[in-house]
Amino acid sequence: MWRSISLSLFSLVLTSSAHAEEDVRPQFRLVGFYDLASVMGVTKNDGSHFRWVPSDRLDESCGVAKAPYNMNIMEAEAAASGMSPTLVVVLEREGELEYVDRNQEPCERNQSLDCQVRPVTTEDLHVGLGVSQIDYSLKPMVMPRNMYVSLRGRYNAQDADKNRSIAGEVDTSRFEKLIKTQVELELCLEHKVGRAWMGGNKKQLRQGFLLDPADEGENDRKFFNGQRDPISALIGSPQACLDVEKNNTSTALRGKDDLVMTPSDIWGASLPECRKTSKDRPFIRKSRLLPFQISKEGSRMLQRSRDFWSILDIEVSADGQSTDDVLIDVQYNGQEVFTEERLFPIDGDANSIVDILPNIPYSYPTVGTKDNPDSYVVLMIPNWQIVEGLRRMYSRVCGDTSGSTSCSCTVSSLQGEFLSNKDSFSVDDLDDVRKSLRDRVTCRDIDGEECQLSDVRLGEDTLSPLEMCYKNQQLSTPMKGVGGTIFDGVGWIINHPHHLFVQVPTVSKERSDFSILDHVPGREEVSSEGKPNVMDAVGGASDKLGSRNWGYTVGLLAGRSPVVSLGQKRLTWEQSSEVQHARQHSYFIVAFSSLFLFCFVGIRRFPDYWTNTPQERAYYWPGRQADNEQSEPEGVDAEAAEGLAEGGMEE
Amino acid sequence: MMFFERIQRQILNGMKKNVDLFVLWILYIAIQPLISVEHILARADLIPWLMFCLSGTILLRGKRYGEGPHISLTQKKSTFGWVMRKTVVVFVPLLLTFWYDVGLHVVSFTPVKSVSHLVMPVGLTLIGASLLALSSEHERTAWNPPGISSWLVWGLGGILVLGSAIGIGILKRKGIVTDAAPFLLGLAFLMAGSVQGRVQNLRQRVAAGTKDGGSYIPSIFGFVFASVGSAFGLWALFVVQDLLGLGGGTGFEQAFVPAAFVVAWAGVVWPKPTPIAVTCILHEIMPSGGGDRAISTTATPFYEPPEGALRIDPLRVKRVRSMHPWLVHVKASRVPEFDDPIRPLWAYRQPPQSFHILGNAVFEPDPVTNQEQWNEITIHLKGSEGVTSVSGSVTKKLVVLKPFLKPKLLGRFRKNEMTTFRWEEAVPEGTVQRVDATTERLSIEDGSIIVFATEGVAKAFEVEFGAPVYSFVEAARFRPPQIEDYVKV
Repeated sequence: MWRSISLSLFSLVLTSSAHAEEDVRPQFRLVGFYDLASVMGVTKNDGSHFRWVPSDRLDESCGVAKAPYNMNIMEAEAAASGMSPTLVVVLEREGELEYVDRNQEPCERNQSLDCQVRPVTTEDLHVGLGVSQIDYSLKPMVMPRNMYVSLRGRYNAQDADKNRSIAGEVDTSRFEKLIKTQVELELCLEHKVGRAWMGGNKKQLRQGFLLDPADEGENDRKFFNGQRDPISALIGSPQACLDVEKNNTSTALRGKDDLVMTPSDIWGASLPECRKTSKDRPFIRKSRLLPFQISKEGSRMLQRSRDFWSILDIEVSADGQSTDDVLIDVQYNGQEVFTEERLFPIDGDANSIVDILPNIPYSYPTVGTKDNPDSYVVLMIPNWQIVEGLRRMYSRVCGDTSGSTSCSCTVSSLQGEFLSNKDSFSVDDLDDVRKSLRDRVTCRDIDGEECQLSDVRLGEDTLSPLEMCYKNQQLSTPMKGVGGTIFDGVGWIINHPHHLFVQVPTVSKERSDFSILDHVPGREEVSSEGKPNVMDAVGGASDKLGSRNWGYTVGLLAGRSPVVSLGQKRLTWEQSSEVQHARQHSYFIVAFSSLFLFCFVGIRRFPDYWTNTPQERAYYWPGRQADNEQSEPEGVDAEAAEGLAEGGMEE
Repeated sequence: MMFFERIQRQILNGMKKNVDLFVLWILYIAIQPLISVEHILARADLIPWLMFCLSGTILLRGKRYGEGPHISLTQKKSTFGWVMRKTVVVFVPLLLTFWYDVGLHVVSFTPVKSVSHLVMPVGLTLIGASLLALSSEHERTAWNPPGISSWLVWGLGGILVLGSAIGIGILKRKGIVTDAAPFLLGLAFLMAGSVQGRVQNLRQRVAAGTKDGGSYIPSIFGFVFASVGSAFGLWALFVVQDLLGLGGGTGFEQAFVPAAFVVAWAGVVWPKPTPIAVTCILHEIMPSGGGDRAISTTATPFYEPPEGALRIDPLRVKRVRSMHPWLVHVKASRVPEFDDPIRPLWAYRQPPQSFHILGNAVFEPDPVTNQEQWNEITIHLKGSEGVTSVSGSVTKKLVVLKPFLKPKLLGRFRKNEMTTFRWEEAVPEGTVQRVDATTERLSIEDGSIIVFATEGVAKAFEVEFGAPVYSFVEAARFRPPQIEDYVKV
C-alpha cells in the first residue's frame, strides 16, 4: 500500500513539473493598513510642521489658494497634523522595478537625473468600498504635477497675420482659446483647492465650476470644492505654466478677499507664462510634499529625487468650418494621450468639449530605502470619503408618512447588494423597484409591524415614496449634509476590512517548477483578467471561516513590516512595534500555546468525567468501627459536673 | 490497530520526553516579534538566529559527545567549574557567528578595517578560553597517563574550527556557497559537544585499552552525526522548500521553521537520559468517607451491599502520616551494549533490589514500542505462594485500584463491565486488578491504590511516583522496602 501511495505522489510531482505554467500574481503585496492619526498619536511623531506652501506664480495668476468647503485647511495639512483620521494602505511592489526617463523610455537607475521608477498611477490601482466588488470608489491622495502646457494650433490667427496659409486648414484660434480656458480653469482649481482634477459628468462639472449650487443647498456638498463625491487630494502644491504664442493675462478679480471659493476664483484665473528656458532646463525646485517617513529597518531611507516639468503638448487642427472637423493631438511627456481626437465629441453640440486633463493619470506617492527604493506605494484616504461612502451605503432611512401609520425603512444587512442607478421611473418599473428595495431595506411602522411604501405620486413632477426611497438608496445620490456629528469611518473600515477593496494589476511569469501551493485546496487562482483584491490577505467575513489575520500588518509576524508615517524623523523600531502590537502578539503566542497544550491534555482526559471509579469493600479497617457508630467525644461528663456544682467544693 | 497504537505512543512518548524543547521552541516563536529589525538576530541570513536557538538548546541539553573518563574513575564535581563550562558552551555558537562575519566582511586585510571587525571575535575567544581554563577542575579524574598532548589538541582544534568559520564566510562572500547556514550550524554542533570533553579522557581510554586487551579506537559517530547530520538536515530543509515551490530564500519571518529544526535535532543528538530508578512512596491511607449505611437487622436482598462493610473510594481517601520510601529500577534495553568493546555490560551496579511483598517490581519497557518507560510499574507475582503464605493466613485479598486509566487517542471506547456483585458499579476494564492464585502480573501507576486485606483486616496504600534517579550514588541512599512496612510486627 505504501509503495502505491509513494508511486502516485512521485508521478504527481513529475506530471506537475512537466508543465511550464504561467504564474499570474498580483503586482503588489499588501504590507499594512492603519489609521495614520492613531499611529502618529501613539508614536508622538507627526507631521504637524508641514505647511502647504503654494506656488507664488500661481498665487499671482490664479489667485490665493483656499481650502475646501467646511475644512478650512488643505487635506494634506489635516492629514499631517492628525486632525482627521486618514486610512493608509501600504503596498509593496513585487519583482524588479522598471526605470524610465521623462519620455517613458527605459533607462538604468542612476544613469541620469530624470531616470525614475515607473510611477504607479490611478489607472493601475482601484480602491473602493463595497460588498463583493467595488460599489463606491475612493480616491487616495496623489502626487502634484508640475505641468508645462504647450498649446499650438496647426493654423491659427498668427499664421493668418503673417499671410501664411496651409491648404485645407481653418483658423483654430477660437478653439485654442476654449482649450486654454479649460486648462487654466482646471489647473488653477487644483492650485486653489489642493485637489486633483479628475473630470466628472455634466452636473458635477457645473458644480465644480460654481455654475450650479450644491445639491440640497449645502455648500459642503459641492463637487470638487466640497465633500460630495470622493476627489483625490494632492500631497503638495502643484505648479503649472502655459506656453502659448500669445498669452493675454487676465485682469479679472481672482477672489482675493473671500475666504471661500467664489466664481471669480475660477473665471478670473489664468496660468502664468512659461519661461522659455523651462522646457530646456526641465528641473525645478522640489515642492514641499508630505514628509513621508518609513520606519527604521536597517537601511537608509532614500530622499525623493528632483522633480521636473511634465510637458503637455496640445495641438489643435481643423480641416473644416464645423465643430465636427476640429481635432486635437495631445501628448504628455512624449506619450500619446489623444491622436486626432474630435474636440467636440457630440455631433452638432458646440457646448461640450473633451476634457483633456482627466485623461492624464496621476501618480501615487512612493517611499523606499536604499535597498528597496520606491518599492512602497502609499495610499492615503481621508476620513470624509469613507464616511460619505458608508453613510450612502448603510445609514439612509426612507420614510412614508402619507398613510395612516408612518412607514420607515432602513438597510437590513451590511451584506445586501446595492441598487442599480436609475435616473427616471415609470409605471412598468414599479415591481422591479419594489423587489429591489425589499432585498435591501426592511420597512416597519411605528408599531414595529412590517409595512410597505406607497407607490402613489402626489403630483406629476413628484416621485412616490417608493421611488423616492429607491432614488435615495442609490450610491450616486449624495448625503444631504455632513451628519452633524463625528464619524470614524477609518476605524470602521479597520474593523471591517472585507468591505475595502484595493485592486491591483497582475504580472505573468513563466514558471516551470512544481509548487505545492497550487495543490492546496481552497486556494484561489489569480486570473490574468480583472484585478485581484489584495485586501483578501486580511481575511474577514469574506473568508470561509470568517477569520481575520492578526494585527494591522499582514504576514506571519506582526510588527516586521515597515510603517509609513509622517514626521521629521523615522519611526524607531520600538515605536513601530508598539503600533503593530508586537508585544501583544508575543503574549498571544504564549497564551495560545499554553491553552492548546492544556486543551490537548484535557481532551484526552475528558472521558474520565463519566468513567466510574472502582471501589473496594472490606469488612474491617483498622482504626474504624465496623458498625459505623461514632465514638463519644471525650470530655467532662455534664451530669457529673452538675453534681459537683450542687455539692460545692466539698469533694 | 497495533501499528496506529505504536505510532501514537511513540509520538506521545517523544513529546513527553522532549516537552522542555517544545516549550523552548514556543518561547522562540514568542520572542521573534519582539526582536528589532535592526538587531543582529534579525539578520536575513538567519545565522545569528540559528546560533541563538542552538545556544538555548545547549543550555537545556548540551552534553559531550565522547565517552568520558574511564568508568572506574570518579569524577570531581565543581559547581563553579560547571557554571564556567556551561557559559562557554552556550556562547560558542555566537562566537562562531562573529568569526564567520570576519570572513564575510573583511575584504582586504587593511589594518583599520581588520581591527574593527576582529575586536569582538578575538575578545570573546580570549574570554572563552579563560572560562574554559577556569572550568578545568570540573569532572577531573585522578589518572593522567602520558599520551596525546592536550595543548596540541586544543590548539589545533581551535585553529581548525575558527579557521573553518572564517573560511565559510569567505566562500559565502565569493559566492561559492549560496547558503552558509547549514555549514555553520554543523560546525556549531560539533563545537558544542567537543568543548565539553577532555583530552585526558582520551588518554585514559587509549592507555586502558579494550576489555579483550585490544587497542582502543575512539568512536567518532557522535561527532559526525551531530555535525554532518545537522548540516545536511538544514540543507535538505531548504531544498525541500525550493522543491515545493514555496519561494526562494528564508527570511526572518519564517525563522521559526529553522528554529524548530535546531531544537528537534538537539533532541536527537542529546536525548534525555534514561533514569536508572524512580523513587516512589507508599502512603498509608484511610477512607475519608463512603461507609455503607447499615440498613437494618433483617436480611437484606442480594442487590443491597452487605451491612457494615466499609468502602474505599480512590477519590475519597486521606493519607495518614505513615509512608514508606521505595526505589524501583527502570529496565532499559541492553542488547546494543553486548558488543560494546569498552563499556561493561552492567555500567551501573544494580541498585538494591526493590523488594516487594509480592515479587519483583520494575519499570519494564513498553510492550508496544519496546522503549524504556517509567510511568507504570510491573510486579511479577511469585505465583500462588505469594498470595497465600503471608503470616500464615489463609484468607486474603489483594486488589489494585486505578481511578484514572491511561488516555488513548485511538483505541477502543471505554466500556463499563460488570463486576462481581450486583450492588457494585460497573467499571472499565483495567481499573480493578484482583489478585488470585492465577495472577502473574500486576501493574501500578502513579495514584494507584493497593488494598491488602487479610482475615477481614484491611490496609490500603497509595502509590506516588517521585523523582527519577540518574546515578547510583543517589540510589544507594535509599533504604529498600521491607516486610515490616506492610505488616505490623
